Amino acid sequence: MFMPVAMPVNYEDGASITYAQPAPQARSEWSASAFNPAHLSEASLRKRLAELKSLPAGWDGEGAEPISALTLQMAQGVGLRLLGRTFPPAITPNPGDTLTFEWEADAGSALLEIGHTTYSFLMKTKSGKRTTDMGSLGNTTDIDNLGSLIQRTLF
Amino acid sequence: MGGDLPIEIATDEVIVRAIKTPYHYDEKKKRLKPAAFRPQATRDDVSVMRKRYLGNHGCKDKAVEVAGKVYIGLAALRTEEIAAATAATARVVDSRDGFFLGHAHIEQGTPAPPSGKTADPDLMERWKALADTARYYQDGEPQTPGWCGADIV
Repeated sequence: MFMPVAMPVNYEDGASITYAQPAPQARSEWSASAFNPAHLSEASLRKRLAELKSLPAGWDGEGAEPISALTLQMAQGVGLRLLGRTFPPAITPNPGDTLTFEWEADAGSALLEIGHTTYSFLMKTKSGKRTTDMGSLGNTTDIDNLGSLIQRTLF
Repeated sequence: MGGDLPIEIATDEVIVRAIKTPYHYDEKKKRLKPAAFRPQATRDDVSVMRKRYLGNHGCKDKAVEVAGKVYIGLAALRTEEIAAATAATARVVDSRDGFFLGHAHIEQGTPAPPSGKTADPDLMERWKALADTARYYQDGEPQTPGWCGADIV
């Protein structure tokens, strides 16, 4: 069972933000389950986001915007919440300063786009079931539920 | 020579998209990402090329000319496949004026959201459908002039 606790996150540029975070004992529970602990790396999430932080304007060859500190902060918050709930996604930048978390599995795929204040979600199974959602990133319960849904449906 | 290429695009015409940067292609899973067909913020179109006029070599050389070092390969779909993947919401239109002969756009009907805003799931689904439908051709020699790989179909 997850017990949300407040956890401050500090950034290299001096910014900080506080996210609700699964309690350490909860993460240990997940580590002992079917998850591969090697996949549950907070360090790898931070490393990936740091890579995206360095993208210059026009990184896609067509005038894409750089990924802002705000988008990276929001993505990190979501990423930290998802670490204990589902397998780690690929993280792809989009031209309009958003990031998409992507899962591909035998059972289907899921996309979770993270913006400045909102998220958009699409999941499709190979059997044809389609699930969509949009909402505020401030509603952490929704993010938690999406993580659990992805894990339950795709893996 | 422009008179040799009609403005109208046939349903079986091969349309080619330059794939740029690793962010358009997942090397591990060997698949195109939806971002490959996502327009810039507030736009509803992405640039493509008409193989019918440019051929394999012309498509590759134009892709390098436009994208430079971030070019990694080409993705191809027929016009009818684009329509099918997007439930006919997207169409291919010739856009040679201001660009070059053989240039076209996939117009998707609905613009991508403004900066920092996330997309409607219906749009996300269209971009993914285009990526899943397209055939990807990795360029083994991206900085060498001309296309060295298999025929783009």
